[in-house]
Amino acid sequence: MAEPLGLITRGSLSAGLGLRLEPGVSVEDMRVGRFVVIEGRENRFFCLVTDMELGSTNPRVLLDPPVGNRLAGEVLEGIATFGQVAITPMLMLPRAGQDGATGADGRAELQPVRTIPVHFSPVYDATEADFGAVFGRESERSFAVGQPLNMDIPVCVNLERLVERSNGVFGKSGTGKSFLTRLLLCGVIRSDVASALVFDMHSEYGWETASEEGDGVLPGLRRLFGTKVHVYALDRDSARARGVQVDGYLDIGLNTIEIEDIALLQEELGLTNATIDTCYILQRQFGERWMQTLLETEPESLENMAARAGGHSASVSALYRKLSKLRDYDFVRESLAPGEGGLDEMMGWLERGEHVVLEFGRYRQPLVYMLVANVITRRIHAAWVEKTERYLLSKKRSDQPRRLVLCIEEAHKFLNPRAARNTSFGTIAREMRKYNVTLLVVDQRPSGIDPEVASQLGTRLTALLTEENDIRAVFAGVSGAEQLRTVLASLDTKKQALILGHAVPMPVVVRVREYDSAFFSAMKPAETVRRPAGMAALQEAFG
Amino acid sequence: MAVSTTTFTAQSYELNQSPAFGSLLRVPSAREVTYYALCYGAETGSIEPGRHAVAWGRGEDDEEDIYRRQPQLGQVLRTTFDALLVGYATDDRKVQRVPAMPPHLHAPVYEAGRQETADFNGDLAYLRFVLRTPLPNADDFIAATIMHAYQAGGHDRAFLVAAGRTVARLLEPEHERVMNILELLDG
Repeated sequence: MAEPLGLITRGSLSAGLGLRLEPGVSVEDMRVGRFVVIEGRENRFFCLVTDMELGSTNPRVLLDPPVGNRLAGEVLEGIATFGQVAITPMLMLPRAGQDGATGADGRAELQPVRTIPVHFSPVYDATEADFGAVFGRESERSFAVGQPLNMDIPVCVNLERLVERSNGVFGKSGTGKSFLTRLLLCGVIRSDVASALVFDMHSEYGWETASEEGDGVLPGLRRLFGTKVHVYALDRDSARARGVQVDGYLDIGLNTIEIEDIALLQEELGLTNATIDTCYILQRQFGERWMQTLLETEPESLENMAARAGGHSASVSALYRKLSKLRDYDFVRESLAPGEGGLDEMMGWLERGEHVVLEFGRYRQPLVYMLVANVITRRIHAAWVEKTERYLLSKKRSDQPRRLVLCIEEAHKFLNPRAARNTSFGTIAREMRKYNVTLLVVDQRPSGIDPEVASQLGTRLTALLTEENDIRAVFAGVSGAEQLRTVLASLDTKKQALILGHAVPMPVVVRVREYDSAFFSAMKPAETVRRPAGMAALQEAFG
Repeated sequence: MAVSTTTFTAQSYELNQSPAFGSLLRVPSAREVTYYALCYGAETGSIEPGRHAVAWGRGEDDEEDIYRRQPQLGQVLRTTFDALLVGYATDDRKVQRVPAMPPHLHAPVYEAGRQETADFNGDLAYLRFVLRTPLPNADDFIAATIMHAYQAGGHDRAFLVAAGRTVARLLEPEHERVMNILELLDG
């Protein structure tokens, strides 16, 4: 075994442990976020380095520093002066033969930390075997998202556990959130653990995307996974201009927009609470087609209309003015019959286990993004709830709704404390796990997300965040968050992320996997081998 | 000349010939035990207690002239040295601790050779005992001991650092002493 980094000299279960570095191990070689292993007497502890400190045994040394005497400097290092490293134990593994839970294969299982190692337990750098023991090896269900800071071995997330709950990808602008998100989506699509619906605000997931270095384009999900991924566009002109092969265009009918959708846009449209109330008044009077009726009314007749419905005329005029904006978008239709507009087609793909990317093209304003995402999500919400109810009654496996991941950007707009209570997104984030629908929220301002929702997020992948409120929000509902803060704040500005939560056994800092040709070829084979449709065709052909 | 549990005093056969301050001495004994000690002082004086040597010679005489003209000086003066017992060796092993029995009177004392000194310093446990012994000029003595071993071992810097670390660890609360010894070693 390699030389130990040092010995455990102090600590507590609640505040973490103190590691005194061996003479000869420089504190400058340590890194916050490094994965180390304590060899306790009866347990091995897997820990994360969270802080560092310069220590001295004798204040006199500090008053009379051994400067100018090389020998004294060398001699005193590690004795009178030493590096002290704070580490937080995350998991423990009882040694073979000890009491404790054992897995099916008789091997000891990882457990949450319930004790601390004895005094002077040696601490070692984690080896490849340790990473393997904790994060598992790359497989169908374990997806390598990156490598640890100081080693070239894969760190895997458990995709099945990932899609079981809603997840968050956070990070300041330009820290690689989209790349991280795309990686996760690739993992989900390749392993087929769930269907994915991506609300692609900046048109960067579906067809192709500019590389971070700005020297070319990288293929999007469609080009990586072929016909398993369907690209829909909202903006016909933009899709055509960019040469995107789209599978369809999405239209939204005024009759499919509900008051809930408008309430979500209250801020974007500049509506008051009274105006929202007016919507309800009009709906009571004119039924489902209230919006068309309103927008088809001549401006001068609005007063009559208000009088008929019993609403305030100024309020009705305001609503008319604000909602007229919606008609200007070329994807908005006066009325859509059931089955029209592409939405049912999209949902069909998702139900069949395939994936959909909805590109917004030029329509990257929050107003459009929120309206469209909410209309679609509400439909999906209703459909999946119904399927689940049916499945609960029939108990037939074929009725079980397909697991679905909805990927939304600028999530704080949907999940802020006000919106989270009213929109389908809030409901999904809180309780749709039971209905097999989860969210993948991508955001640069996690502090804007309703704390109740944030605390329900299963797995969080976060690139660098510096704003104090955002950091606090990322760690909402995480125990031992204090120690992880320094780790988060010390990430590189690019290509590094802290992963914590349900899909990883312990928090870990990774250098995010490169999105390059090696990655593309790693993604390819699964697509050809594991195509359920292909398998069915083969079986049909050969009996 | 005089022996106690932890120290002894020996007389040199030659006047003014004593082992170096801090050097390792070996005392073989009939009991198949070889004692090891460190020279911590030397003295040349009259053989009769209470009788003081007198100054001889004139300003222009050099030292040899004085002894040539006064041959009796070789008989009435003697050189003695003091040593601190730090360990012993039996056939198969070296032990760094105070021996159960001190060496006998009249046992011969030799300077340990380079190799023997280097071997003995393979373990620095004896420094623990040396540092606890109240001796005059203790710090200089320790520095001299380490320097001897350093030279015997072929000027291996790693040894010097290891010895310095042992001293620093043992004398940890007395920072000034540690720094003093390290200054002497660094010089």
